[in-house]
Amino acid sequence: MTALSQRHTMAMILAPAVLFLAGAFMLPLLNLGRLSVFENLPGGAIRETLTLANYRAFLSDSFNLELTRNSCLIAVQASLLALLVGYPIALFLYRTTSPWRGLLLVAAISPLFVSGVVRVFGWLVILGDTGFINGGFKWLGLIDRPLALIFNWTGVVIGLAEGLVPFVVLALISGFGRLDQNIEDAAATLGADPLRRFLTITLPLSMPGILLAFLIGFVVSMSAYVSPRILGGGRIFVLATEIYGQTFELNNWPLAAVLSLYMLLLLVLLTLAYKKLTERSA
Amino acid sequence: MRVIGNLIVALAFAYVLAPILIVVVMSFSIDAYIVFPPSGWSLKWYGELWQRKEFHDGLMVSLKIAAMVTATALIIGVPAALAVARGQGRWRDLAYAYLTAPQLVPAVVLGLMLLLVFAPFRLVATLPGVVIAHVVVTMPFVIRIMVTTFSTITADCEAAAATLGASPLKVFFTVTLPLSAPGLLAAAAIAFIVSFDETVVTLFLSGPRFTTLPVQVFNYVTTKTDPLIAALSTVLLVFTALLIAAVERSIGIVQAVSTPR
Amino acid sequence: MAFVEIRSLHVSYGKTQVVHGLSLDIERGEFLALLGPSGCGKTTVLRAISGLLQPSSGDIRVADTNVVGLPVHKRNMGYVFQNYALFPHMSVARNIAYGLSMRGLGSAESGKRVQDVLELVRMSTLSRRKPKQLSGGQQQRVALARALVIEPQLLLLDECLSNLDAKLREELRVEIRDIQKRTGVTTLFVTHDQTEAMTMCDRIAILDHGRIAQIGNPRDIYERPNSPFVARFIGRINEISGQSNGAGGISLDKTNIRLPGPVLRSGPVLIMLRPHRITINAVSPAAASDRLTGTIIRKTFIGNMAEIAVQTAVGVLVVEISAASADLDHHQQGDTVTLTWSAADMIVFEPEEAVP
Repeated sequence: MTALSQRHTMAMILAPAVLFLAGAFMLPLLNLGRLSVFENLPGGAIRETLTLANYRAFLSDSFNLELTRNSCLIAVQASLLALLVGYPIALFLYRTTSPWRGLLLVAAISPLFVSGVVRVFGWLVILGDTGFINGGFKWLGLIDRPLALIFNWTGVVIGLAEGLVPFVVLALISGFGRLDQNIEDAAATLGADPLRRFLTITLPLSMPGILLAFLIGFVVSMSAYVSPRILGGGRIFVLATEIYGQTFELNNWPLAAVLSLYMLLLLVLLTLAYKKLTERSA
Repeated sequence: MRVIGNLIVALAFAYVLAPILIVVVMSFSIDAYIVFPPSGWSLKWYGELWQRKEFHDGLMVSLKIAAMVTATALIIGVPAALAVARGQGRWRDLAYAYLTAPQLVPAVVLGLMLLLVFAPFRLVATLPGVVIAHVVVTMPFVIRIMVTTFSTITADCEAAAATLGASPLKVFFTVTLPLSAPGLLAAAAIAFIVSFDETVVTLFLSGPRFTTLPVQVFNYVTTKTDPLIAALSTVLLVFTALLIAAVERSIGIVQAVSTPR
Repeated sequence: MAFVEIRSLHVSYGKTQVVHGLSLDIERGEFLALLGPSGCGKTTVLRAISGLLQPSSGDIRVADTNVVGLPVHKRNMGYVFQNYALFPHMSVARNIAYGLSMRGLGSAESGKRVQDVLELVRMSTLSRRKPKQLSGGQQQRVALARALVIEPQLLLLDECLSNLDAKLREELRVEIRDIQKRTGVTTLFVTHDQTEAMTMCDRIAILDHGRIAQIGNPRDIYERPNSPFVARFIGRINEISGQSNGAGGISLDKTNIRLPGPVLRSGPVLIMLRPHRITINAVSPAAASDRLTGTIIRKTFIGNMAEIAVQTAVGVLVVEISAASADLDHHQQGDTVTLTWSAADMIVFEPEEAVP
């Protein structure tokens, strides 16, 4: 087979997937833009006239600013919590020589393979007024009234962060590639105790992994729907819940489209900022 | 120092596994609502689960969808991954980015996008509609796993086979395919699990006429909290765990979910 | 007409041209080495011949047939990869039989030929093993057997001894050469290791940046290099700057020593001397204008020979003497000695352009 016919064959086997995504993904994405400039009639019908009314409504509503603030703040807090939990796990998995390593790795990323609703239900049980924590503390006599850990901001962050840990662990482990045990040994021979070694060698060298983990955590948090909706009890409002609400409760698809484009824009800006940040330090 | 370190790691693991473990424990509770500690233990919720036809239906639908999605995603995704793995230069990177783009879009946005396009074609709350949506969602996973498999595992041996007289088709069937079998298994298992668990996009595309198991669970959880869902979740967990074990034995989980190159 | 004729071969990797108009003739049954530093294009040439790479222009003719348009699987050339590329999902026997099954051979006939070649590489007892159960040396032999059993018109070896330890490499060098002599297959061997090239091959082609710098038998290349690059690449060599008087006389810079030499244009010259061509003597009482004196600054014992570094007016010269030589213990560090050599052993070049 000549180089040219090989190229043709490769193009042919690539085609079905490309065409499928063109119709099922690219087209809908462009259509989102199209819908965002259509007119929404009361009652939910859509008139296909071009208008910027939706964008004006979006920009003039200060609630959207609050939504953005909520989404970002929850994302930052959840990502930080996930990093706090994920870093020890990742470091341990990277260094251990235990035969259980494989199993522990699977355990660490197990939230990925459990449906979001199941996970979130588990948190309802743990954080609820009669759940694991409150029930346990009451039984131990530590508290009289239940702690409000559910259907509020706290519950959302705790539940969301747990779902982020797998992503964080994987990102960190890939970033640990630069951590050569020899470097730490060298530091030890030069007189650095374990804590100093961690602070001056391990942590700085794992910074790229930490940044990547944070970015991924942030992106996934911003996109999350199930955790804010269920753990927030309908009282926590983020961009994702608003998009759902506009679509099904307020029947304003064009506005939902505007919100969606806005969310995509935020994510693109975030990724660009990350690239800028890591390029400079590379 | 070491003891403290290990304790921290143990606590971290406990946090990660907590909801899953609690759900399993709770499924054996005798109480009619979520209370901890349970006043007693019982298998009654499993029995109750068995009685509920709508969950049976939901399970069947989800399994059927997952099977169709896996088959479709593999049939169009594996050849595409091969083309990308063998490609060179900018086209390769472009094709790879294109094929994995859906993973960058939040599920709510994806759900809305597809709803907007499906509505005029009456594909909302239909089996084909949901299958199409799930293929879009699972495609990036299949592509990532198979591109890694094809680029790292088989390239040299394919060259050797060619020098020994095997035509490109023969190379594919006698060397490429057997050597990428573990990767194929992993891609199939991951695609199946992702489709089976998919909730948010499906929420946008389902309705009273047509719904999947995760959506049923979602709706149930927003209105009631009793151990029935715990029993249902435990069944799903066991099933998923078996699939994961199969993947781990073939190419290993980390290989399956990490970014190649 | 040669068995393999390569004419004006140009090969590029993306935008970079790696092989620049290379031409080469290989005789039937010959064992030719492609030797050169990393990046000189030797593996590229090999892959172009096998069809794994497409040249941008040029001809490759084997047995009077142009193979450039032929796909890899139709060229009938055995290729042994640097990391062997054995099929992990097949046993040794099936790996070797693969090429035969591609040619449609039945299992009976194929079985016999696999057995024969296994005996040739001394791996008969391990035919059922899988590649991951074999050591590096064993995998090497299987890869070789797999390439040989198809009775190829050309055998291409791509740095296939590089991943083995020194002792194993030495053993396999001899084995491979023996097998090649017995089967008579024309072989092209890519390597960066000079000793391998010198000990195994009939001829060596030295590559420099995608071109052939010199081609010839090992002795010719070593004793009569045609450029400073080749002289430096093969073995150790001493370099001295001097002046030619245009009539066969050469004077060494910074001294008043005049020696007979080849007739060159008058002007600066680069003189190169192999360490074992220099003789080291105690200082004779009569100072002479035809010999160099210096002080021994270092003496190194390397098993079968000794290296003596001498500081002279023209720089540090390294001399090799056999460990069996009676003089070995006479010369000590700090001694003043005289260095002599015969005119015929000087390799003289025009000096190279200064590198900016």
